[in-house]
Amino acid sequence: MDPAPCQIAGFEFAAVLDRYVRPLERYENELYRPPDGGLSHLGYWEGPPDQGWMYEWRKLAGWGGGIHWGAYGLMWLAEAPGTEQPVIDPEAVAQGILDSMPREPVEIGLAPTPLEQNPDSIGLVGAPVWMWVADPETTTWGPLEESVTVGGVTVTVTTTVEQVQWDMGDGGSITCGTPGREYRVAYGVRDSPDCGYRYEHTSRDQPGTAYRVSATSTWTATWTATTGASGALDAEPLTSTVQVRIGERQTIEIG
Amino acid sequence: MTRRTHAAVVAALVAAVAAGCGGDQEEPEPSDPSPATTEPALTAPPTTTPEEQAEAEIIAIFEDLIAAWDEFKSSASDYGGGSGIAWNVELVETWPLKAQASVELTNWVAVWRQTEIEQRGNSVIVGHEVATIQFDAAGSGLHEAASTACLDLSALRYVTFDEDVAELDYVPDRSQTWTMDWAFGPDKADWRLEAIDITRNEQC
Repeated sequence: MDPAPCQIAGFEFAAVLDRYVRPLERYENELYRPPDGGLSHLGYWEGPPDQGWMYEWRKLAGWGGGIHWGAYGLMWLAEAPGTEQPVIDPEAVAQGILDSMPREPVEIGLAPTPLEQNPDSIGLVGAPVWMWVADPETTTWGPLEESVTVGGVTVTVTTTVEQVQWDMGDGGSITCGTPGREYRVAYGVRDSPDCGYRYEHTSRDQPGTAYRVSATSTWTATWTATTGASGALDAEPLTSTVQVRIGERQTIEIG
Repeated sequence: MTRRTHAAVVAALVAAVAAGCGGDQEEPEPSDPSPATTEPALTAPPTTTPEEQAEAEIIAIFEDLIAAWDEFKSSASDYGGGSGIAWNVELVETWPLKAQASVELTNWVAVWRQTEIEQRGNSVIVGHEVATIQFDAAGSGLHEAASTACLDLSALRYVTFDEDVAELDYVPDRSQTWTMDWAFGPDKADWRLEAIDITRNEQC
């Protein structure tokens, strides 16, 4: 015998309901649907009247030589069978959004010039060092915002850099809450107004006789959902590294 | 008094009053040989009330339904087979049926086909009375009616698909009384049969 058909003249088998269902026509829906329709006495719907739909259901008693219907009736369903929306975890959706955002490590700006840009560059012990973010774009500093709608719920994630931690390679570190000011020769020898450092020792004992300077940008990320839920996310810090050589002024006494 | 009788009486009264118009005149004017303006009340067809209209429609639809049911039973060998499992559902979907009536006829059609006999002759609708008609009783635009029909099946014969006389292991009904619920609208412009209850072999 052939298997029972999944669809029979407009009826579709809903496994979760173990019966065939067919949505009523609009006028029939208006007649029967709760809370004001002819089946309101069943009391199975107390929500907004424009939600859900009335369905005619039938049980299949057999299909040998033709369809044999068994029990039948009407029922209200919040969602069409098979189209139930998945349960949405907005925080998980938000984390997925954050993971796909085009965040990038900062491009380090440094005075003295990093060896990657000038192999002959050398700074001096005790002299001001300026650190800044050379490319403060939305991808390196934020803010970034992105929304995704899943199952009727829209989740929006906003992320931005909270601070950059500068590990100077000699054990010292500085945390700066701004991208920092770019150094210009015209400034002369002076301290950075917002993100600076001074080495106390030369880098001659370091691998390559240079300090390894890293800038780790820490991002904050928050999410909101149209359900009213909101929260914070853990955004992975992003790090970039350069090398800087620090020497000291030699004083030759002639005498 | 039934609506039909009432309507006939009303029509008769209308005719009598119309015929009496001008009766007080002692010397009627000689009849004008030229065509005179016709009084609408004398020549217009009787106005059909909504109830009469509904009753006529239900009776006609039921006649068509019984004819279709007979037609199927008379040519059952043409159905089923390779036409798909749901052939009977698709057939009954073409009839003016809903809800319980649709379920019942769908099952009857399948069971009849399984017996592998055909009917010869037609059911005779001996009487069909539309007992109640409620127009938009609930304010939803849905009209409802209830009717009872009696079918004389005594002249029907039954044959096998090979045209031999069918040897039935039951006594076929000689008559059936169909008690029915009907619905009309609000969007559907035809009466449809929603529920059937059949009493067998009661005198029509």
